[in-house]
Amino acid sequence: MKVAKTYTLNDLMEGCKAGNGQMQELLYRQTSPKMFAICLRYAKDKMEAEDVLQLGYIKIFKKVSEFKNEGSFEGWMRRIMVNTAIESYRKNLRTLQIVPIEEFYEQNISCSNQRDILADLGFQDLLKLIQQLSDGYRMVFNMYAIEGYSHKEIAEKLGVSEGTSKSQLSRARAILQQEILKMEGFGYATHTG
Amino acid sequence: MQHIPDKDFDQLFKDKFKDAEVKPSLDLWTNIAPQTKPKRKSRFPLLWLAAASIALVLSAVLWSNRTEKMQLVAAAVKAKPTKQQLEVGEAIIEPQLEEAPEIPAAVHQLSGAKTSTTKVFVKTQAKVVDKIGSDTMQPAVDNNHLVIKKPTLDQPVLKQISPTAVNEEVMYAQVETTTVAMEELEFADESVSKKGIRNMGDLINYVVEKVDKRDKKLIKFDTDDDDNSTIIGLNIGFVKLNKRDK
Repeated sequence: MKVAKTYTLNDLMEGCKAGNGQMQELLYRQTSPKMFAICLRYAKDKMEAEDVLQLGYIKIFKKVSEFKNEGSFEGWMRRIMVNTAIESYRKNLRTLQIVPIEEFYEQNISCSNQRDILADLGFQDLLKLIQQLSDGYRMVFNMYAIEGYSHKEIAEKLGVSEGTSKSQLSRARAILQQEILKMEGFGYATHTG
Repeated sequence: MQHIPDKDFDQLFKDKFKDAEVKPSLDLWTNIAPQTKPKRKSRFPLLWLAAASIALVLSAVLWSNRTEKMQLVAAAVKAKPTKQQLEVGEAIIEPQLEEAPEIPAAVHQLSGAKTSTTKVFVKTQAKVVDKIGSDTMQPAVDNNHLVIKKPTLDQPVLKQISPTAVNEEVMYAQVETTTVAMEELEFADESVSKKGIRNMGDLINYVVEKVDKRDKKLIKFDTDDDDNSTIIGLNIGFVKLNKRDK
């Protein structure tokens, strides 16, 4: 059943509150690309990302009645998606919070170089780099750098100490920077300007 | 030169991901969409079909074995009369109709003026009654058989019989009943109440009676003092066969 009218996010939200199945699907179609990008950032592979996406939307539809029309609905959805991703991470955690030994070395490269490189990189490249990180690093970097959680909040959500959060963040950054510099020579042609 | 400051580094990433979109595969929605249950219709007749087939199997088995040794289907063996008459320590045996394999048993009736004892022999091929631990057993009980008495009497005990070789007869239960005391059990059906459960037909009548509250029961047997049980009534959904002289 195609509807000519275009719905705003708010319309869709209200429709979901009313339990309208079509609205739910429309909301999904409209917002899932953004949500899936979040899932891909957090999950260790595409399969986990898909699981998180599905679970996240199920939660969203279940909890939409609790949304109080204060603040951004998209932001509310994102938080649910991130929380679902964190749950998935914690559930799949097999080892204790052992910081893996990563070999990385100091790079003596100018920062302007990094900026240039970064400027040319699209999020797909960065996504690949993030996905290459070890699980713990990836989680902390995502939550701190992109979602904006504090170390205290990260510690609480992941069940680690603040110290662990801090050290994992700095290692994540170091590895990412190192990898970005490596990309300099490769003509990262996934997307040319 | 320095590294790019952490804050800037983070911010660069944040900006790149702000509006990032990746299309998920198309079929993922099906796992999210609320599921409906369209299969309600076929459920109802299915139940009747199941009941009918069970009754048919029962009657087929009965008619083909009109000898002294009656074959008991597991469901009948673990039927409710045992539930009423038994207590295992503090526990009550719960009949598990689905799990039990078919346990053919031979029922013999020993004569006795006021006390009749029915011994139920079970040919076990698999596990027999579970759920009863041997710790609840009373020490006086013989290892080989159980004494199942009325609630007014001593607390009866059921013991798990370990699976023996195939086709070996093991005494499974010994039911002691008194014809007088039988009246205490609430039987609507007088023939069963007065004479106790003598044979399989009585047993099935008892079970059906407890379960089926209609006038014309699912299945009804006419029994006599021997091991003769004849179906005189059948009432399954559309099938209603009853003897007039009921």
